Amino acid sequence: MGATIEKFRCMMCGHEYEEAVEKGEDKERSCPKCRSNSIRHLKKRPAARESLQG
Amino acid sequence: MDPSLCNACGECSKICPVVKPDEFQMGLSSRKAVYIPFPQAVPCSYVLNMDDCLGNNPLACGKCAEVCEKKAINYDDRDQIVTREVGAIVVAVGLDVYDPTEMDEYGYTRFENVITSMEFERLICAGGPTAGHFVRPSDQKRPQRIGFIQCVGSRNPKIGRPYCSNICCMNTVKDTLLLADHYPDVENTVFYQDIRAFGKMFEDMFQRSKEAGTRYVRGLPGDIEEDPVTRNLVITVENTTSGRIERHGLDMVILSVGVEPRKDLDKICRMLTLSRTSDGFLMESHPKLKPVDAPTRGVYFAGFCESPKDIKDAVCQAGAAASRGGALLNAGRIKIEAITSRIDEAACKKCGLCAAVCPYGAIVWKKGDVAVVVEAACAGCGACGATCQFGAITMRHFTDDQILAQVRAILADRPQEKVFAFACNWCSYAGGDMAGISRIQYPATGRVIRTMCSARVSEEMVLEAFRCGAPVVLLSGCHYADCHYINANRQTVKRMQRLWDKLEAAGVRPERLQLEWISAAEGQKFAKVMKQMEELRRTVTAEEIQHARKALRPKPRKVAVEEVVG
Repeated sequence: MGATIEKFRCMMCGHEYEEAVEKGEDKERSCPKCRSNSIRHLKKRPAARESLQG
Repeated sequence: MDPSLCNACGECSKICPVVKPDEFQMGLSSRKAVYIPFPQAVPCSYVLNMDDCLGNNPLACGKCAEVCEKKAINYDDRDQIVTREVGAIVVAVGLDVYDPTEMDEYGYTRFENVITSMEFERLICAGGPTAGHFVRPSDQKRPQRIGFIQCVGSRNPKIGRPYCSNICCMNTVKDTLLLADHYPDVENTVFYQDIRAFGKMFEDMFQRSKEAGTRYVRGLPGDIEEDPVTRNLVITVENTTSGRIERHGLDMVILSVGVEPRKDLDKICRMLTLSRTSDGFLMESHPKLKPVDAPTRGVYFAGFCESPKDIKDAVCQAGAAASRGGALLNAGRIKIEAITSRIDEAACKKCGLCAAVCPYGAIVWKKGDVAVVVEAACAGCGACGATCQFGAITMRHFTDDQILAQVRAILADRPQEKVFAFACNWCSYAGGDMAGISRIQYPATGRVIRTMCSARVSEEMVLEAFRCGAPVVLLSGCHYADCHYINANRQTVKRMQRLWDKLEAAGVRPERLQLEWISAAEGQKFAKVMKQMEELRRTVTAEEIQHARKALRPKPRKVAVEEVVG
């Protein structure tokens, strides 16, 4: 409920990835590839629409 | 019910026609709408639960009041909000027990003879629904073969509970001893992943349980089946000691359920500006040096709300919390850190942003009024000072001028050869110290400015570093769960997003600005990050540095022009 798929970019290694983010979520982020905390938030779209599109 | 009049004669309860499940007996017996909550309740007085009562508007029953000779029942009595002025608060709100209904593999909702450890406590208790006679729910007969399953709702990341509940192992050991004492012929089997018997005399108790005949099988069951005729249970488990799949026939299974923070804990957190760890328990001011203090001054923790613990630890913590509170109340004068913020009323534009970012609620602001700092509540993180766009907030001992002077001094000579970093006092800077005392090698090009919190570093400070020719800038602070200022470092994250956008808009490579969370123990990480920063620095060209100097030059302020014209 209220989750959105959001896009992130690691400012250290350049890796871009998407992750479901709950509303009001308070979570430390790190790059899944290099573990850096320099994570830039890029853009978001509703998770519900994504799941409907399959 | 007036407890000063009630003499607990029980006539009201006898005549009450309402029957409800008894919460204290885990629903294994019933109570009336007027009842004593539990046998040892103090004061020993009946209570009337108006949610269960047939109602008094209009009065539907009224029998309890008719039989009460002491006239202790008043239907018009209402809950009241009581206001008290206090000097210290001890938060001891306790815990919730894990509800195993979601772990359907253990059949808690499907099989009557699968019960929780809390239900077992009521069944074996002399004051319980069976007066201490242990029987199984399906046929009221005494079970002969009893299985205990450990870690139900604990150490299980799949259900969001990765932590150990601390008390379940020894509770089960105690239960097996209790059963062996009451019924020497009973066969106990405990299915576990680890038995954590780390307290005083706990190992001895564990050994006694084994000597009493309890069988310990290392492995958590994958499945439980029920014989529909006998209602006996069959557990399938991989015994990880022998490596074999075993099937155990049992009469009854007890799920050793874990504990979790209270579901309404958020309300307390909002009220007292407290923060929570990733497990959901309350975060202390310092895990080693201030284990009973909340980050908010004058608030202390006792018991499970801070972390799972046994009775002895809870009593110790409660004593410590009471002592800390008593010391505060008897201090006469309160000593506070000199690092607090101060607001210049003349410069304040009354926007209220500082109050919004203060994690302690230490800034009082009303729309249309200048903000005021309550210095006794200010912890000195500096988030407000970095947020104020009008220069109205001065952080004592970490002023903008002081920090900017350090930036300029560090980058005055050969800035292109330096890795420039801001580090928070409590974690990242201490992480650098750890790297040093551990003799961990990292490039000598690093130059670090210490601030109390990463949230103290304003956009202007970072931009000034680039203007002064810094090839790369690192902003480092505590991990989320370790922030020494409740959650001030979340402001750092927001600021970083804005800075990356600004750098990109100005044509400056945003990767030149980096963020890292480094704890005081992570000397290795500090060294690794500094090496990465050095590698990054080597990729930055002289042209890029020169471009940043020009592109980030502050635009002339309109006010200043008007002043000149005037």
